[in-house]
Amino acid sequence: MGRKSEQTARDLHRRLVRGRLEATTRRTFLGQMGTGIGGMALAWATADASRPAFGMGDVEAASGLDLDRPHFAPKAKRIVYLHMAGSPPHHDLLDPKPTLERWNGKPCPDHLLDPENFAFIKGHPEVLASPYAFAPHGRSGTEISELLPGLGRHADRIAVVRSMHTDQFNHAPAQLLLYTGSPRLGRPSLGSWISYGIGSENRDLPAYMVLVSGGKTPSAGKSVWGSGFLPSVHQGVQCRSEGDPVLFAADPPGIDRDTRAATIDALAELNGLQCERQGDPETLARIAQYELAFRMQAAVPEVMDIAHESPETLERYGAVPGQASFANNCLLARRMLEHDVRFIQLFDWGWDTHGTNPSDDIVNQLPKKCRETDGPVAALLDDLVERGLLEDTLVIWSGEFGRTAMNERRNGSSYFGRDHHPHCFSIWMAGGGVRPGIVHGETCDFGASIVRDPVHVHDLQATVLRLLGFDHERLVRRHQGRDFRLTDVHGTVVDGLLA
Amino acid sequence: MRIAHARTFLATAILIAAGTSNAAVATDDPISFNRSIRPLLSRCLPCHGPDEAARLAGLRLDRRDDAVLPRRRGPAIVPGDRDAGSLLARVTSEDPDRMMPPPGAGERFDDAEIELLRRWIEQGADYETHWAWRHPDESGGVPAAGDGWARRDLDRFVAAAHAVAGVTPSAAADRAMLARRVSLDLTGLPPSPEDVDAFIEDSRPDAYERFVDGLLAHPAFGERWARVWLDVARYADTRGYEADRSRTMWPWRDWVINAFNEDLPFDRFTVAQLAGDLLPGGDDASVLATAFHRNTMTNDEGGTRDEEFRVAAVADRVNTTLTTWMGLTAECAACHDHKYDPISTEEYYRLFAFFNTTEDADRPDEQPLLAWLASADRTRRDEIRSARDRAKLERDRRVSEAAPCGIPVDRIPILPDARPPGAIPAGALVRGALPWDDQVDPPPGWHRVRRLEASAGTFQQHFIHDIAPSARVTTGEGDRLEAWIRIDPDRPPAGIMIQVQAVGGGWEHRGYWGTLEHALGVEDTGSRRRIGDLPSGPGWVRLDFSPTALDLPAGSVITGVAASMQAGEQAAVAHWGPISVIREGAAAPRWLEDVGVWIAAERERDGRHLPGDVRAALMAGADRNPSQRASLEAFWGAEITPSGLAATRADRVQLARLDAEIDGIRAAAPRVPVLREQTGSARRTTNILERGDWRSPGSVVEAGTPAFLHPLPSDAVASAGRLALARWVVDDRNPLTARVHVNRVWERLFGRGLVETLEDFGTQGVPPVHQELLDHLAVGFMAQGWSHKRLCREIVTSATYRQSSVMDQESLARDPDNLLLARGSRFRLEAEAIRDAALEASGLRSPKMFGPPVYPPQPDGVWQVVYSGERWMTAEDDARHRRGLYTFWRRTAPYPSMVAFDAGSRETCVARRIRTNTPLQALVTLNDEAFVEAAGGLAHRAWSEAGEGGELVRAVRLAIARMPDQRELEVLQRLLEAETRRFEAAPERAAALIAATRATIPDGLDASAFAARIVVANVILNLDEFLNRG
Repeated sequence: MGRKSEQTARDLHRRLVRGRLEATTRRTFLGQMGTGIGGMALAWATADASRPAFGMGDVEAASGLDLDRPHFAPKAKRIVYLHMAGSPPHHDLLDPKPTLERWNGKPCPDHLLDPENFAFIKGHPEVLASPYAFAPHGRSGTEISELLPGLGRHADRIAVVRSMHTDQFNHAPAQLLLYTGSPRLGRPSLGSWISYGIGSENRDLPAYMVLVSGGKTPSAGKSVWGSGFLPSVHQGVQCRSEGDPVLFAADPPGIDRDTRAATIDALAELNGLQCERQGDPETLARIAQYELAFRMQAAVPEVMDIAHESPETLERYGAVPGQASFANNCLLARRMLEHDVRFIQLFDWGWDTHGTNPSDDIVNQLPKKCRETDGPVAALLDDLVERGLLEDTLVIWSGEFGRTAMNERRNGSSYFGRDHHPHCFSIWMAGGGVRPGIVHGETCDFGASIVRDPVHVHDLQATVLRLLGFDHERLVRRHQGRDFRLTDVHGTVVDGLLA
Repeated sequence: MRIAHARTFLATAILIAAGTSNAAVATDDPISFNRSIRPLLSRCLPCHGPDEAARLAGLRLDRRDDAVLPRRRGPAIVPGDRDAGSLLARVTSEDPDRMMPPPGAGERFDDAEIELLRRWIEQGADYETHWAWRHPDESGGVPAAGDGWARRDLDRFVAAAHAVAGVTPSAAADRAMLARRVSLDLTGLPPSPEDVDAFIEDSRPDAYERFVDGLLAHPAFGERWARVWLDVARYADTRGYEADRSRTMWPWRDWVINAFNEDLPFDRFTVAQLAGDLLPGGDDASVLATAFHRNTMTNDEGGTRDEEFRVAAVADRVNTTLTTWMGLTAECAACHDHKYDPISTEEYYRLFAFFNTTEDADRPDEQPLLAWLASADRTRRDEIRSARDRAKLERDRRVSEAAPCGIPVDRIPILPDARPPGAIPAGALVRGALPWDDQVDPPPGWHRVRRLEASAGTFQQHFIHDIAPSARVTTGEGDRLEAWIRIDPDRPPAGIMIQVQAVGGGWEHRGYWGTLEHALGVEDTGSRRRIGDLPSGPGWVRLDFSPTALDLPAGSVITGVAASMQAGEQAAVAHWGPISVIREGAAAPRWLEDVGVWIAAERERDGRHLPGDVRAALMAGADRNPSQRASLEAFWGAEITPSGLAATRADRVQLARLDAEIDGIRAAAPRVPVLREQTGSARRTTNILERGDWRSPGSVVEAGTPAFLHPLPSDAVASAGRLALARWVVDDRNPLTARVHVNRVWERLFGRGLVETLEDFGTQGVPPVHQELLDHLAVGFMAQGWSHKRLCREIVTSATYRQSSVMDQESLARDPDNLLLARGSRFRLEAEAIRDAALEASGLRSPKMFGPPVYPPQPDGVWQVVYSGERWMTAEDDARHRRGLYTFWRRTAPYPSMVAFDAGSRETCVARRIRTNTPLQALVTLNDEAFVEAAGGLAHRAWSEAGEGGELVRAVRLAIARMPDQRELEVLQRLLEAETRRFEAAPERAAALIAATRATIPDGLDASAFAARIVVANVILNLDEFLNRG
């Protein structure tokens, strides 16, 4: 299928390359092309030298970066980022604070009042102790909440960072800051920087894929996997649980694979004729893209189809084929990792536990979210260990900010919940060169401010890039007159997190 | 003259020949600072540039005066000495502690670059003002090159560069290629084969110019260029951020379309959008234009602080204004002095101050809003208004000629045909006035009635109270009370009631007829007295009863009266006439007979509830001028006196109808966010925001423009504010605005700007490849009245534009980016144009223009909107097939097929879209429902219009204008035959495909044959040649 068109493309490509090389005396072909094949595909480029370089058609994709020389030896080749959108409460999951017991229900100490940075709290709020017990786990003894028993099993594999902090206390800007380094729109996201920097290992799938559960996209919209001013090929491709897994990947009704193959072949032939007539090398890139699209149409549904996983596996994840769930997405993430997808981002909606009603409080909603996610996360870690993938796969779990030590009690609500809090929050990381079995950083007795080893989100970004072999100050892109980078003008690699 | 040109073009040509390397410049040439040295020094500027806070070692290299200053170890630069100065010492040092840039801080200078620096210093180290800060310069005149080829002056500039580079231009494009190119470029739509044929067959010498003029006059021209403008304007149909709720911006989009079609001069187009609200003599349309800057985002997320996002919106207005009109990036100056361009933080906030005093403040209601009437509605409203004015004049005439007429004898009205002076109207259906109903004939001797409705089971009333003291009625011995009622025989109430308000007893005086559910008063007392059964019979019924039954003894002073109704099991309707005291020999109240008495009485209550102008005249008192006096008398005559009311009955009916019509038009008008300047003490002052943080206000600044550009007089700022800024932007002395727009147009017509970085004309942008050409066009643009159409015509009728885009290997190798313009350009169509071209070729495109955004098919589940119930309601009518710019644009979930083709999210200003080429695009044009429907339409159309034997040629020409050649036809024919056979073997597939296209099987084809033709059409609509314009 598509054989003939591949042949056509290859022949034309050879002819053009030869002709062009003969006409070129001083400059190499690669640097010379305006757009097209020469603008070598990074994100989807193939390492297979026997094939023509399938171009994404943007010359700028190739400039500025020297792919043969990563800045450092990479420890991680792939990333799974598990984002609990809305932000889970650190007091109830990863950062135990016994002090809160003594203050529970009492007006909080004045020093915790920060009206400038409360989204909803009014007046003088009361301290809210966690209703959940913590216990040390593993040899490392990391204390983890009873709500996360599965994660507890992996305590010796993860590094808990209790001293994360951010500048933003609303969801959309905080998510943007976390993923793009800026609270405003328009910057490339972490995954697109990585796609831009190291490209793909898979010639049939995008380098950067996104899975969403909980029924809603993140607050900041698709900008959190957008490519900003990087070429759009580097943007995250959202795989959907219902309908086409990738938009427009399904052939129209009545078009079967043979008909599609015939159309791709006819297009390759006609475009080949056009290329001869017109001489535009971009036409060759077009032929190549149709080939790749054709292969993606098969590859994406295949990787997205979990029905053939064993019943045991499905059960361990709690995955049910056909559902839009975090459990399914964890299993899909593993399958994508096995297919060498570079960056997989999971967003799970429903962690914004303000306590205005039972569906957003810490007594009903939080345990529900933990039940939905803890098992699948543990199963994912199990599978990565079992397959030897955890060594060079970086797994990160986080929200976008922390929550208050105080009960929000919006409009006198009788449900328990916590307001937004930018000054500290907890995340965990595993695999891919992260030092396992540690707790990094420490917060005050109220879990409200950091007393040791603060890690700003820019520092996290710098560290993640370092694990992938990049100096965050050198992974740059010129735009509007200056070099932009993920960490803006900030960021320090957190050595304590490196294995 | 010619030598001077040869020099400048030499630079261009050599640049092109040698790429960006400077190494090839011959040794005896003077070094151009702007072209050769500025890019090198810019590497030093982050630490040695304009940003004072970041400057190290007190060294500044962006200005010659600073660079040559004596320093402890000697000056950085010693002009004339190629070996002296710390600059050279540092950049050549191998010592990690001394080398510049320091290790890891930037790219080292290579030998060729160091040699350039040396020679520049040797030649005197002259600095030049950055090219873009200098006014466009045409002093060189038009080069004398390109004889025999040039069609326009601009061609001679291009030819001069060709001559220097030793290249010859390509042949002219053939007419089919040219017709498609210029149609797509000017209107965004491909030409029909008939248009192409007519053009090919037109043997007149100006055939092409005629073809172009037809396109410039086509309404699609405005749509195509509006689309370009929507990107810089960050137009969207939603507010952005988390909630991203809908907003009404489309009337502004339509304004832009009309502006381009009417060729509104670009300077006026600019001023209207930046400050139309402040324009003397401005109208609703100029206020609507200011919606340009209300395209900023509004954050409705709970818990966000409005001020933070208001500040973000104002900053966005500064950045967007500078990028859109002047190609300047100023964003970084919000936090610190610009590292490269001479905009300080203070200057940034001086610009900020121009935009900081508008009323909008990130509020959920998006105020201020303009109720915008479409032109048809505006015309209708104006017609109605003049009809109303005429009717009023007619009414006044009738009043003045009215026969005297009083009220029925022996009556003292409490509530006659008009509201008594001072009385407050209240109750059901009362909105500032009693519910007069002139459609119903009044009871005998009277002129107006009031309508009352009550839905099933409810009690309704209307009433007046607090009548002005001098207009009150006092009851006497033997008085009777009289009221008129007319019950709708089909909708009778259960009961009716008259209630009186009197001094001392308040409202505790009620008499009723029929039954009364409402628990008011005590039965069988004056506070709740049943007087009789519900009156029966159609027509007016007179109610006559004693005031004493209502506990109103002689001497009671009546201050108000209520007319009430109790509905039973069904809704009830009744009309009430006047309510009076009957007393033998009584005279009418004097306020009905003497305007002076009426005025005095109304003044007791400050004329409340009178129309604004009447009230003003009333309250003017001794200062009342003659026209106010006349208007008071006219009002009293027409609206209060029995004779006036009697004479103007028909006029009132007509006026009420006209008023209702105007109200209806106004209520239906879309409400568009616009700019409105704050006034008085509410006006904000502007502070520098430390590090750009809205919570850290620094010192106060006044509005002003950057010092490195043409001056803006401070008295202009004081008197005109933002309007002064708008005029400064389009001032002929502004070196940037005309260049930036000319460059924007050039980019759309050639695929690449003369300045490649449309968004950045500053020192970090890419310098122009043909500055003389750019300046020539910019000067001409200003001189010829900033006409956008004229500019387009100038360019597309040039020989440069008309070249063939066929690339030969040699020219491709020499000049891959076509900087020399020695061939026509070829580039992929933009997202909307691909959609529009497919719809046009298939014959499906709806020609409808303007109006609210539409919802063509998109995949389910694309809209997952947090906190909002808004749904994508896929159109089932011709709105499926409107042009792309009418598609609803949600910022957090833009139309996916357009996103695939590099359309942005419209969250911030985008000066150019970067074109990419990805497999996801192939999936769109192969599989998207919209393109499947287009394939069905194209297959149907080609067969219907050309039939057997001609259909493939027809389909290809509809899509790409030119004739297919034999080899191409063979490929299509083979596919058609093979797919026909396969569909014959699987008729269910054929049926499924045809159903998906929504097309009907044309006469003369069976399902398999038609399905196969749809597949072929799908291929044609995916041809590289279809997706590109060449």
